[in-house]
Amino acid sequence: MVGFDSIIPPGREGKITQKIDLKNAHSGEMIKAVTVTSNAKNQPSMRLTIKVVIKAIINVNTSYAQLSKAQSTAEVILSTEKKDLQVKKVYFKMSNPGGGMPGSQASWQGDLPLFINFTMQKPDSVKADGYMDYKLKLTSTLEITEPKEGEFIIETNHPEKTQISIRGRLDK
Amino acid sequence: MHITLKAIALGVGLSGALLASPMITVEKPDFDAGTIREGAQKEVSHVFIVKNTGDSTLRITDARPG
Repeated sequence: MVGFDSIIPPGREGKITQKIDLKNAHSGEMIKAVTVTSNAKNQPSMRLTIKVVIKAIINVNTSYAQLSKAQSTAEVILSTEKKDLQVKKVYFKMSNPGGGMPGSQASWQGDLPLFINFTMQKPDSVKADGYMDYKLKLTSTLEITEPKEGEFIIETNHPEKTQISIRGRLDK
Repeated sequence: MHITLKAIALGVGLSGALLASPMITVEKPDFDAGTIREGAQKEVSHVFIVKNTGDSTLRITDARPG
């Protein structure tokens, strides 16, 4: 969102206001630019930028995880500054339960979370940036008859980040 | 002589009007908002101060993201 003063007399100042929505911002560096078009002789088109670094509460090393009979474990590294991070539970949520037939028995079953077994290895050191790596190993004991797309939901004891979701798949 | 001076005056006046132009100056066109913790703020905003350092009206016709 950009707001601006459209007429600025000689020798006077005006304002250009830029707002950046951070609601869906990913962690890392973000640069947002504004192009200002005017009748200025020196710079009819001018670029202004805002730089912001979003610091993640918990960094996840992957955006996708898969469990199947052939590949029955998946490792996810959670990095955080929190010393005693714990995972309370992990479950798989199907993105399209019951094949899109609301009210059907399949759909009702699809709403039930599929719990995933896990173990977590505590960090052995603190990195230079103050973050620690927790290795989370997911293991499926579920009997999968049909491949399922969805997301793994990881519930943590972190007060600022109680839930992490990673896109994934359960396969035969 | 008199006519020549007038002509010069007219010439200066005309060229002055022709040369009058708006100039845009922004002292800090690149703003560093620093580091923000995820979820701590819904948005970040900044006001850029734009000065017209020229000698006629500056008209900003558009300012858009990108």
